[in-house]
Amino acid sequence: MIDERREAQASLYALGALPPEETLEFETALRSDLQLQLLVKELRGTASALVAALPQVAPPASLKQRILQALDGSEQRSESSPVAPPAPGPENAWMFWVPWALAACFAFLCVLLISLGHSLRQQAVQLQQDLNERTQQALQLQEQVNQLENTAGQAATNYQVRISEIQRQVLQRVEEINRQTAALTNQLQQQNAEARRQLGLVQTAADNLKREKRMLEEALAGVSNGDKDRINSVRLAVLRPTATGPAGAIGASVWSSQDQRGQLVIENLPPLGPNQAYQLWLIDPKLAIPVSGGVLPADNAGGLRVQFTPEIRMDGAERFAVSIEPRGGSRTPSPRIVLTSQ
Amino acid sequence: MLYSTLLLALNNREEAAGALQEVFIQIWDQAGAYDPAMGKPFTWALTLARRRASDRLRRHPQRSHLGSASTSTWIWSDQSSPSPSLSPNPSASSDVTKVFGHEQVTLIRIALEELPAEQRQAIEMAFAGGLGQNELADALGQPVSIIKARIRRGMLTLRERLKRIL
Repeated sequence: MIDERREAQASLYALGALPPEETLEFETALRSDLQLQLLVKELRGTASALVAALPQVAPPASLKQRILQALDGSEQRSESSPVAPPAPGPENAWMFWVPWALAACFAFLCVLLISLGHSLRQQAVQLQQDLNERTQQALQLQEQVNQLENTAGQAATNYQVRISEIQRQVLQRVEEINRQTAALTNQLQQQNAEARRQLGLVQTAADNLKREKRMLEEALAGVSNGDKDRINSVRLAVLRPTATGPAGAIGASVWSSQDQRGQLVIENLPPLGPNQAYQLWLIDPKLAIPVSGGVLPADNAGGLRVQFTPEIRMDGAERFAVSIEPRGGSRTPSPRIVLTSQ
Repeated sequence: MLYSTLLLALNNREEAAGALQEVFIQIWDQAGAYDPAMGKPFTWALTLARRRASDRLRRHPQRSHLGSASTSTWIWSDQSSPSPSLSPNPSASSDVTKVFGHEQVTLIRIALEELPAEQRQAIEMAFAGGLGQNELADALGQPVSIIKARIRRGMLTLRERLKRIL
């Protein structure tokens, strides 16, 4: 990098306007600075080009002859020391033309070099222009390639992001479907197991019913005609409390009209006072009044199991009732009925 | 072209012819000192001619006609030369186009004309008048630093504009 001071010195140096004291210092720096040498060379070329803009004046026609004579004199002076050359005699007459020939050669060489330099300069300018154009084209192509690469990279990135998003959505959907499938499978398995369990229960119940049916059929097959008549004469009844009876009391009776006896079971009868007692009544719609089945000996827990026989023969007893009567019983039931069958 | 340069600086045909003769003798004697790394042969010859003109002007400063700021703007104008001795010669101009080419001469003149007036003036007086920076500062009535800055900017601008044709 050349600073402004050196640039100014180089400009003045190229124009021959740099003072002698600065010229020495500048030339010292110039010998060791390649960049500065190049700058001075270019500025000298620039200064020499300024000649082209000068108004051109042709030198006098005699000047060329004077210069050639002066060059000849200079040549003779350089050859005269320390011994003066012999005067050209007739045998050395050709030596008179040597300086002229050398001057002509020099002039020709100068013209040739200038022409050659001009041609090379034009070629260099043309080549530099071509190089600049190719460089510009290469830069444009490189720029286009960079733009295309950027576009392709952006598009690829967008597609990759899109693909990743789709893959993520697909994975989520698959996981959701798998989860729903597992839930449905589990639910179906549970329902299937429940159905199998219920089927097993039903099957067990059916088996039990079949077995009971078979046992009943076997028992029925073993029953005689007399036994069948006795079974047909048995009357089963459930006794439930009336509206004024004890709510927790319940009872059941089995009555065989063929045997004219029955069995009564009652639970949860509340205890009665010492002058009261429960009494069983058998009701036949064909009779005007109920028939007593006897006073019931209730225990302290309110339960009883008794076998009863009516006071008279009862062929059509269909209902049974329990009432509260005075101690020892009554001939007809009191209105205080606590249990009755349907 | 060397003669035109010397004539412009010295403003005297005999002085210019004598200086040109000295230049050619110097070229003849010092041809071995030419360094291609410092420029083309013509550039070297031009440098020698301008130094020769400067030497003669230092010996006879009264001959300079470019030491005044008012006389420098016509230098590169073929149409307004104030001196009959500097009137352009067609055959001499054709020599210029042989070296530089017609198109390049046009470009060089355009580049000069496009320079700011103060930069062009300082370069003209340094180039054609053979004036140093101190003499330029005296002639233009400006500090040396201003002169150096004008010449620097002007020469760098010319170098940039003429780079493709030189």
